[in-house]
Amino acid sequence: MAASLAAAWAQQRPAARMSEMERAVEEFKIQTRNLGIRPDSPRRNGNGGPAGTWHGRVFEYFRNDFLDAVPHEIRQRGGDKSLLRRNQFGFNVAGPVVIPRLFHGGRNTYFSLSYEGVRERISRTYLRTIPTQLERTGDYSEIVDSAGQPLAIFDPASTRVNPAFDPTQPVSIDNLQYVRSEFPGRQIPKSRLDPVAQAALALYPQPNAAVGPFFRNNYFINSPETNRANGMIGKLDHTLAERQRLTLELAFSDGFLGSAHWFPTRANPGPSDRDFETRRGSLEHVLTASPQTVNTATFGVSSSLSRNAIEGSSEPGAAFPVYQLSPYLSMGRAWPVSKSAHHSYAWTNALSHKRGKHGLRFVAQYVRSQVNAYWPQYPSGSYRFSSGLTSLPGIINTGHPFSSFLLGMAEYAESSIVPRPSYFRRSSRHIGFRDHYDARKGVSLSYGFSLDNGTPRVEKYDRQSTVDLQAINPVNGRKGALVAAARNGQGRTFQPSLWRLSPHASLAWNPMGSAKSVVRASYGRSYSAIPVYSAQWGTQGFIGYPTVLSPNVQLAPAVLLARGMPAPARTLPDLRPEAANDTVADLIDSSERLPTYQSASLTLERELPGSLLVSIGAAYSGGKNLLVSNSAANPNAIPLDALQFRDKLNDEEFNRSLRPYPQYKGFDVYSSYPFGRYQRDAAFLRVEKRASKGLSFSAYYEFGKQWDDYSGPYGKQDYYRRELEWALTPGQDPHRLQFSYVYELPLGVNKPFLAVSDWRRYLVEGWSVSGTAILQSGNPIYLRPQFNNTGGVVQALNVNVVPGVDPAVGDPGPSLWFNPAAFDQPPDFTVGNASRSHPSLRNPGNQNWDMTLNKRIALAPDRTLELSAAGFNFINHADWTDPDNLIGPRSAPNVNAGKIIGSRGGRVIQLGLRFSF
Amino acid sequence: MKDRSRKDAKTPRDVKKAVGVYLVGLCLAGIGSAASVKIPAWAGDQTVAAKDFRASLDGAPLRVLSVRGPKDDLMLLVALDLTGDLALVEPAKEALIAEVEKLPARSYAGLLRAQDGLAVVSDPTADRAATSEGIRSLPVSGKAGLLDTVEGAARIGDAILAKAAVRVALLYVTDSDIHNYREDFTNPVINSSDSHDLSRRFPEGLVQDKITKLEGRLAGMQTPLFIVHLAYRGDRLNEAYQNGLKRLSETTGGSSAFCRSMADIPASIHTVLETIQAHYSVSVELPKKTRRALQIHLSLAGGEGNGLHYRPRLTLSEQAFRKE
Repeated sequence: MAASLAAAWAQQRPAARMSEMERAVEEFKIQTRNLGIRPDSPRRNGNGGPAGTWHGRVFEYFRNDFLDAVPHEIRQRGGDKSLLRRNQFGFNVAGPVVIPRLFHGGRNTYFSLSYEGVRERISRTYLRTIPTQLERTGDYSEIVDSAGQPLAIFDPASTRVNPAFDPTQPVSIDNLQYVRSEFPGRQIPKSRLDPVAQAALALYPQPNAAVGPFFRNNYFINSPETNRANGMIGKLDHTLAERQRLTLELAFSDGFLGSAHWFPTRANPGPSDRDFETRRGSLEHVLTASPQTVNTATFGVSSSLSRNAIEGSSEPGAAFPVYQLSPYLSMGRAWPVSKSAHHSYAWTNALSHKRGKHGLRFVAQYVRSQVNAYWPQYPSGSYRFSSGLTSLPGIINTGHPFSSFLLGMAEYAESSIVPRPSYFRRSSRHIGFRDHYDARKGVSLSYGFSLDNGTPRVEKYDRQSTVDLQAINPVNGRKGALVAAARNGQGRTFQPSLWRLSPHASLAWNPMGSAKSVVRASYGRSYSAIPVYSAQWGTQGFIGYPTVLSPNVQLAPAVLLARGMPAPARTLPDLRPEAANDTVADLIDSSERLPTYQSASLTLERELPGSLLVSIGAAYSGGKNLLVSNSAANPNAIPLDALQFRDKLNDEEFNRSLRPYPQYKGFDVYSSYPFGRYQRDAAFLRVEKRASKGLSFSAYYEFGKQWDDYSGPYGKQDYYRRELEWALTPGQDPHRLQFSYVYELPLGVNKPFLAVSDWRRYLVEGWSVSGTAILQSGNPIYLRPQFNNTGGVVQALNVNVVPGVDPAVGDPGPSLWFNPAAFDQPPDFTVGNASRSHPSLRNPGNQNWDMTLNKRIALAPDRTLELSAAGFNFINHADWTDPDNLIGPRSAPNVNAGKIIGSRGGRVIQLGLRFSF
Repeated sequence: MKDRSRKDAKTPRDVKKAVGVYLVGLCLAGIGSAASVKIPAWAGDQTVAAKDFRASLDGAPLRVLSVRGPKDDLMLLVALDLTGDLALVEPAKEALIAEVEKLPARSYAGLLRAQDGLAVVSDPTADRAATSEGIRSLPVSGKAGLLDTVEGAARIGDAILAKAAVRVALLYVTDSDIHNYREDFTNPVINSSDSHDLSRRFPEGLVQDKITKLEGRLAGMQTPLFIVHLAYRGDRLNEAYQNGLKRLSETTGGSSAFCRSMADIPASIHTVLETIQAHYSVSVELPKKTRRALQIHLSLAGGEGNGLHYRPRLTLSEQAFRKE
């Protein structure tokens, strides 16, 4: 200390003869030398040790149901608790790497290490419908249809041809092709109840709610799940000789999601427990070759593993079979035991160079992706039950799927035989170029392109297959036969390797040279590759889907539960061209179509006095060849003009004869068929106020409309006339308002009020309030007819519009949100004339208000303790659930249509404590 | 005294030592004289004589020791914190060079780089060619460093202010992105399987914490801080960061500009340099006993409402306060 004083004094003395500016320069040199930040400074070895230079934090976030409001959906069911126990904790530490006596990273070598752990038990709630106690015994005397009328259940064993049937007239209650007798007293005799079904029912819970109407919505699930997670992120940053830098990042996370039990038995239809593991690593090298040239090379590896398991067993065959009993909650679950691992390796090199008015950037990237999947969907079989077998054949609103289940008569059955995992691989290449051109004062232009190539998916052992729509099937001589990869002249893949050029351009213009106003315009076109999915889709023949179809879903079952699935006729692999016949066969699209996107936008930004920034703009985006799933693409669909054959369509053989590829029941295109289109138009306004007097906020409003021809919960009515499917997209709220704010209370030292600097500052200083709110109008309503009597030709039937009746109601509310009288069930074997989604009716909107109150306590200049209390949905707002969208026929209307049965949501409080140093 | 100074040390030992030397220097220089503070002020388009400045604290007049105005010496410390897009950086460098070359001969410009820690690029000089060459040759590399270096840079400025009768201003030209700091202010998701995580619903917490700490320390410094940010970003974390930068500069009596287009860059740099050049450094003597948090009122002879704009609040550092 004495030496320093002497040095300082010595340095001061000559300064007396200097000019003031020379004195200032000299002081600059002294200060920067002492800090060791001059090129000629003595080399520092960081003998100060890490304690004074490391920064970090330790934190805990705590949630417990005693802090929260009881969610509305629970309170409405009479509950008073939603279990929640949650602790989220961790730390972060960062600073120079120090190895005592050996190495001090100083400014060159820096690390950061973060850990976070989560321990949680949290409730899940659902409201579903299950059979009544009487119904389980075969007693339908109290069961009514959705209009409240007694539901007629017919005995399939009494089916007989009606000699009076007039084949020139449609089937109707007055002209039945087949007649059946109702079960006497609407009671299925005990002797007829299937023993397998009865055994399964012992695992089905009892109703515990009576929300209605009638016997519907009678099972309320409020079940906890246990979750835990541990993860770390570590970073190491090292600067080599000023112009080169290496950054290494490693991360891992292990998680467990113990799914809530919908049933307390092994027939639980809820999801399986899941384990997650993620690993990630990257190494980045930045070379600053010159002030105008920077090159960044990155190599990254990532890996994620997901495992589903059923309680007590990792054997798929130990799972309970799936019984699909719609409209009742099903039993058993799909994919009870499965495993998938994703790995990707990416190398990227980006070179930036500034030359004159051009800022150039070149990017090259290579990515290799691997997916290893073991994904049996129904290892113990899946059985689907419909009302047809207990109906009066051809007459809607008769029979019930659950009564067919009681009789053990499934209309469709399938099981999955998966002897081994699949190992999928694909790679992609990307070359990109961009020039940022400063054209002239006030105008800058950015343009470029990317050239992308994606190789199609291969399987490591060539265990891939698809239906080749050009190959001849030996069974019927029609086009469409199974082909396997790398066999019989077939390549290892089924899709072409494609290159696509994607241009993009943007413009920023300051009108009239004013830097306070900016007009921005942009346009871009891009393609996306078809990803490698987790499922073992496209491996049929190596894995098996034995399928049993009913010859007529109204007359004969596919299988009897008591007999179970028949044993497979052949062992795997079965790669015969006809091996996929009579199944919903996997179909890999082999065309050159790739999902294609276009977007354009125009924005005007203006900076206003008072630190206000206002942006207003409009945007367009659209796409074609978007990847869609089976509900939106069916190359084996029957054209709608076949509806003229009416009840004849229920005959499976006749029905399939009308399909383009009659040897198949259908095609499974997974979510990989490039067949969708969409368009979105939006206008927006954004206002931002930068921090001023401690307050900053931003508000964003958007009005947008999006249409497409593929999305929705039910699917398409007409697969061939896509233009008729063009309708508003579900889940897209036209109006969206979001705002957020941060307010540092003006209290304490260096603030306008209560500028106390004694002990009171600990109470007064460091208060802040932050909040966000989102308000959204409702998304388009999808209406659905209650019955679909189209002989399996139409998968997703639209409703009919009743002319002259206004679908809107004056004061929409839970008792009536829309007017169901404006819609009707289409007559048998006709399609609905309404669009997939309604053009003007919207589901209820929703809003969310979050706020946090923080108090920082400065324990020392570098140490603070922060307490926070965050309220999520802090005003405890309840959002209404969507109205009942089922439209019944005039003869038996759904009395609940248009009504809302409840609301959801509730305030959640989280307390936080963070010590930072 | 010894213990207090140790408590107040902020960063590495190096800084502590330098600050210690600086404080001792201040003490030695200040022996026998009353404590004073320097307040940056602007008088709009009018030319103001030193004698026209009036100062008061809680209604009691304070003695104005000295006033240095636009025609007096200026020590401009320019810290470049450039790590991002070359397309923005090069125009910024050119604009800065053009503005530095326009500075009056009595203005000296020193050059620092802030990325990966503070480092001197060139000493303060009136040799514009040397400064320009330093700006041109500075590589665009490393990690953003403004938050890590601004306190140290401001301390250098304060040391100069204490030692020499010149005006001092600190200018940061940065394109920093909050995601590009070595220290983690973004709180990235660590456990992607944790779907009920609400702790990141307000992700600005860490940025605000850092800004608040820095604000507290800069409140005790007298060098006005100016920031030109080259790349305004609209995401939530960067909004919080940019708002924080604005707070930091305003705390010291300086100002900030955020560029939203290429055309904004030269305009913003020009405006900020003009502001710096136009500032007055008003040295005011403090009473023997005073509070730590000060709200000094400045006015011009002739009364209120004459366009005077100045730093409204100032906090005496712990040492300076104790000295009182």
